[in-house]
Amino acid sequence: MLDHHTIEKYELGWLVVALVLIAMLFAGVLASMISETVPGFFGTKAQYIDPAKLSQTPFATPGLKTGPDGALDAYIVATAFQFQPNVLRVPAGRPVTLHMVSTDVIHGLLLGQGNVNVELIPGQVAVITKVFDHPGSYTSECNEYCGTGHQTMSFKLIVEAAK
Amino acid sequence: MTTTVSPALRPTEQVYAGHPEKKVTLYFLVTGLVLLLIGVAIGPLQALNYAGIDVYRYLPFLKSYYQGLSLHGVLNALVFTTYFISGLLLYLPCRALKVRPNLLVAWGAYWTMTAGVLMAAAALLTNNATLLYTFYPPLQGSPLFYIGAALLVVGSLIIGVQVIVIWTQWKRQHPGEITPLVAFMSVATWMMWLIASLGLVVEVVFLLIPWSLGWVKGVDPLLARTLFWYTGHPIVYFWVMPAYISWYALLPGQAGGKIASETMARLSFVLFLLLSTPVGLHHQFADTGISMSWKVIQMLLTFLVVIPSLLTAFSVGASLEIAARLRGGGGWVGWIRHLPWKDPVFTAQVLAMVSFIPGGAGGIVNASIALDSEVHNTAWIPGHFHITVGTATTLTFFAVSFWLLPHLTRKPLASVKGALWASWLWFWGMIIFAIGMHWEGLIGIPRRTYLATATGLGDMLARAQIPMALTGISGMVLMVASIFYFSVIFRTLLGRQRVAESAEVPIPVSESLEQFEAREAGLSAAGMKVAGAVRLMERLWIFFALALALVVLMYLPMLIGMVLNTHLLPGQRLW
Ligand code: HEM
Ligand SMILES: [Cu+2]
Ligand SMILES: [Cu+2]
Repeated sequence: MLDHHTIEKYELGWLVVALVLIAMLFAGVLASMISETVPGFFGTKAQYIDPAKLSQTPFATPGLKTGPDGALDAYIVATAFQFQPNVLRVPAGRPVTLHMVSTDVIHGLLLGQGNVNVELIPGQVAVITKVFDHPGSYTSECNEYCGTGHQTMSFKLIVEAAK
Repeated sequence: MTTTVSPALRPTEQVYAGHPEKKVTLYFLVTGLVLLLIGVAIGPLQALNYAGIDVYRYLPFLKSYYQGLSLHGVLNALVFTTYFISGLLLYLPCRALKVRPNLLVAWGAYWTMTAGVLMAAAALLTNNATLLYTFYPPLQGSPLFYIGAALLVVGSLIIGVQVIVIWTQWKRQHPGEITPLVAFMSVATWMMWLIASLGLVVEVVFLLIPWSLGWVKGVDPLLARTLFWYTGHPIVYFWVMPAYISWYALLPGQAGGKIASETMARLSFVLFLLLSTPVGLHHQFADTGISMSWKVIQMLLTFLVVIPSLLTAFSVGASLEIAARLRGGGGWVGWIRHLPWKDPVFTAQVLAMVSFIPGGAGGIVNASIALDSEVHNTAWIPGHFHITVGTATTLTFFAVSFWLLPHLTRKPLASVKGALWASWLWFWGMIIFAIGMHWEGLIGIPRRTYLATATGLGDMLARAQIPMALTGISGMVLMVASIFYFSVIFRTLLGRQRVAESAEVPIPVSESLEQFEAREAGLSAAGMKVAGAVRLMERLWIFFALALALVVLMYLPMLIGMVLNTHLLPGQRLW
């Protein structure tokens, strides 16, 4: 039978292997984040809006807006049990800044493309800038339990090819 | 076989006479298992829902899919685990230290817990707490639910503090002695839980109870969520560490071998104590309102907690190999055949361990921000935790029940074959379940969804037909597995035959290789050389203090920021 010193030596070796693996994993994930595979590593700012006072903000008229400089901003409001708008059309290949907020309880949204997956905590605005490269139609649904109508709270992202 | 004594000759009380703590332990275990039975009964219905089949409209006693899911999550993940662990991690360390716990305190904990569970159950069953087991505000349930949840945790803390006090007194009475492994691990687990449960206790007692009673007008949902996940992640170590205790310290003996390395076993528990708590943010990677730097730091700490699990895998594997070779096995893998596969106590634990390999690997995926954004809140997540808490922990607890219930009651296990069937079916059921759910998650199917009636997922459902079928099938396999399991357990408990005291199933405490070598060399336990590292690790209070300091460092600045900047919201009832 193996004696415990030998086993301990192997196990210490295993501990070192484990540490190296973890270090590589951390470096890899960090590199991926810095190269913006997931939006939000740089320049996300916490922003709070009183959900009762959306009428004084661009969220009063949800949807895609083009700024004077041509920048695209999409405003999305989540309320039990619907998203407004529930169909969003964006052009492919151009940066779009998504602004999302919930007005009542926590909702969530995973867009079928682009690693966008957010918990919408009432009043806490999610601001994410993203280029959608692949034209197509992406269905999704609220992904945080919000009540009995949760499974009917759908959302569709349509990425349109540039003309 | 063993001598049996007719029940008339041995009134029940006498069975516990030598060790009255057996009775309170039995109450904890059996209450936990009965509540698991209710929770598990709902599981197959959910699996059918994830196969697109709606059975809920035929079920008058459930007002909605979500009421059932709330019961399933609360009873299985919170209630069953807490009862079982409280019983097990009271009994094992006390027996290892040869100390009788204060029975008044132990029963007090049991009844506190039970009062809490009855209150929460009343709220859940009347559809007044359909909040799922995470109860995120501003969804607001009946105060009964929150008070009940608090009492459940308080009950477990009473047991935890009792075990720690018993150990501290033991240390004082045995200066210079090394704590027996099982007791050491149990104390480390309870210390971890003491720190880890703080978040939940603060959330429920200071935010949710006053709010649900109408004493304060609002609650900040982000703060509440953060406190919830402060406890919500380490709670998974609270579920896994007792299983590790069984794998490390009991299984080698049950397999006929030795603990490969006691020092490493202790080290991994010290690492769990240090690193389990400051990692809860990895459940909030998708949350708005929390800065990315904190998320990245806690991601690193989460990766570090993988290390004690990798150590466990090594040690447990080595001790099984030692066992098999002692039983005459040989070769690179040929030894595996020589393990006691006919013993359900052994087999269930090994299957639990096997399920934990993909379970742990999936956990690493969830913990890395870049990958989590693909799977967060999808069916992938329940796929993941049914092979961790739902199998690694639950199937290990099944194995424990196969020897511990006979030990406590002196009633022989009703059917070894039935127990083996239960274990294999549970294992395969959960593996199929996990394949189906992980796959659906990658397609983008959300979790916690009454999928059979969902309206917006058309093309996604079309792409998910195969994994959805797998989930449905797995639910049926798991239903059969639970029928096997619970019938073995209840037939055992209701059996009339009791074996004599001398034939009692022993507590399977294993010898370590270190102890074995010392014994072979003719050294007494006292004369055995103890590694310096073991002496250092005996100072668990120091590691407790370090763990506390680390968690304060990782959470306090963020929590202060949230408290200074609260946005209070009124409650909503949307079910
Ligand atoms: C017969 C065995 C079981 C089956 C068929 C089963 C099935 C399921 C399914 C399909 C879901 C996903 C529901 C959804 O996301 O909408 C689920 C959720 C869950 N299950 Fe199980 N389960 C079983 C046993 C267990 C066990 C033993 C545990 C824990 C010890 C457990 C803990 C949970 C938890 C915590 C959830 C999440 C609830 C939530 O999202 O609120 N389950 N189960
Ligand atoms: Cu929603
Ligand atoms: Cu976690």
